[in-house]
Amino acid sequence: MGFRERMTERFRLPKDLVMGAAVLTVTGRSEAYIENYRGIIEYTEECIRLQTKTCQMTLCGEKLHIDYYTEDEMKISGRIGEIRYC
Amino acid sequence: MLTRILKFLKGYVRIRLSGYAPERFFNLCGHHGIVLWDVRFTGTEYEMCVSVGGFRSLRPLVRKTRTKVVILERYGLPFLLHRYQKRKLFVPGALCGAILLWLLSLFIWNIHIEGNYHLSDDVILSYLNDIEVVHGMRKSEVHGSEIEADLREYFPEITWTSVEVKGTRLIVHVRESEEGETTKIADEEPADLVASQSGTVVSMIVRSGTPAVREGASVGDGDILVASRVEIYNDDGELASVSFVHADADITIRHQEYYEESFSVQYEKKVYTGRRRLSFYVTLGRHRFTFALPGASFEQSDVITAEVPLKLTENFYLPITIGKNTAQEYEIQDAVYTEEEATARAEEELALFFEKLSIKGLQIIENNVKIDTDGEQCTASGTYVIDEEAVQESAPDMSLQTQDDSEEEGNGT
Repeated sequence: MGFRERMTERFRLPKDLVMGAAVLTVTGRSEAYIENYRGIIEYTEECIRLQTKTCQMTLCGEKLHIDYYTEDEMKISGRIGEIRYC
Repeated sequence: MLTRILKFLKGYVRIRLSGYAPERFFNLCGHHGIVLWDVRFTGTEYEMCVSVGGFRSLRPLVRKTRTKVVILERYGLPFLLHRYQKRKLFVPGALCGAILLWLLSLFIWNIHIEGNYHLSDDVILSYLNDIEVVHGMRKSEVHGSEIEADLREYFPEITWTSVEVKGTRLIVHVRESEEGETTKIADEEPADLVASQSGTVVSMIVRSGTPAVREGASVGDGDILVASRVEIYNDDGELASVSFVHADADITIRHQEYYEESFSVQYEKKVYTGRRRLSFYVTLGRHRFTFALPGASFEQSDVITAEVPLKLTENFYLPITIGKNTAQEYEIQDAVYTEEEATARAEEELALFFEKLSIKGLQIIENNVKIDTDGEQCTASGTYVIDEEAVQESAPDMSLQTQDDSEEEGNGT
């Protein structure tokens, strides 16, 4: 655990602000809100791959589509099957 | 909802994106603060919506990512305005329509009268016309309390009115007193009940006041039936105090009346020839234009007129009337009633007369009317007896009472 992480834990600071961690909110299996990401790497109907500060995030499913896309927030809807970090 | 309205006002386009690096295009859009929504992947291309402002700053991004953008559809107000730019009268027309609507809403277009039974709409409307409350008047000129006061003053039978403006309607609520003719004394004032008809008292139910007559007594017109003076005696049988009340009672007076009607048995009978003549007319204000079908006019004819006044709302009549006259030709022949016919006519007239009486609330007790026909005249005559609530209120003569009181006082000392 790095220094920055330890300080964040101790002072109970929000991790998305201090560490730049992505925030993922999933509603059921049909909607997902993603904040704090860097950009899109790949977008098809079956797979959306996003770059975050520390890793890549992949959402797989069927008929995925982006309801809106701004610099710091996006909403994905469709039938989400899998969420994977690598 | 709000975002949808904002999107519509600012305008947006749906574009199709194809080319080398669409994902990079998305990221660049994000970095430049261009919002994309409703992004869909259609197999080889991407479709999305972008605001008009965003679309204008897409060009460098498109060049950088070597993609191609095609506009599929345009939505929103800026495009609508652009589309109707050449229709120069559209906006002025819409504006004129709005102004016209606003102007029309400043006037009264319908006067509606509610709650009137005895007074007809026409009577009230013509009075309103006299005090310049008319269709088409300005709403700001309607002064409800003045109209109410005028109505109550002009029609004594109206006991309560309320004038209300609802949209472009002027609604006059009216309440009429049931006994319009009898002299009315306010409930809190003392009042005697006097007979308005001479006869015999057949029933009497007194609610307040001192009865001055008993059932079976014969009374004359103007006699006091229930006095307002109520005397209270103490245990010794002496007069303790006197008070005046508003007398209230149901009193039925039975009296006899005489009926006589006659008519000649010879009469002129109209025999219709069956020939008719139609004519139409249109009345514009004070001018009348008649369109008659060709043909000679008749020497003697009945004219039946049917008129249709054109109106916009229930009581708002336009100054245009369309009418139809039907003239029916007849010839006059002398005729004589047979005895049966004459009796039937006389009976019919009598029945009608009694019906009118019973509508007024009178009860017919006895009917001695005889019908006689002598060659020339048919006469119905005789007496009939009716029960009637022939009672009216009158102001008590208080001065007499006070004199009595003072005399009593004088005796006492």
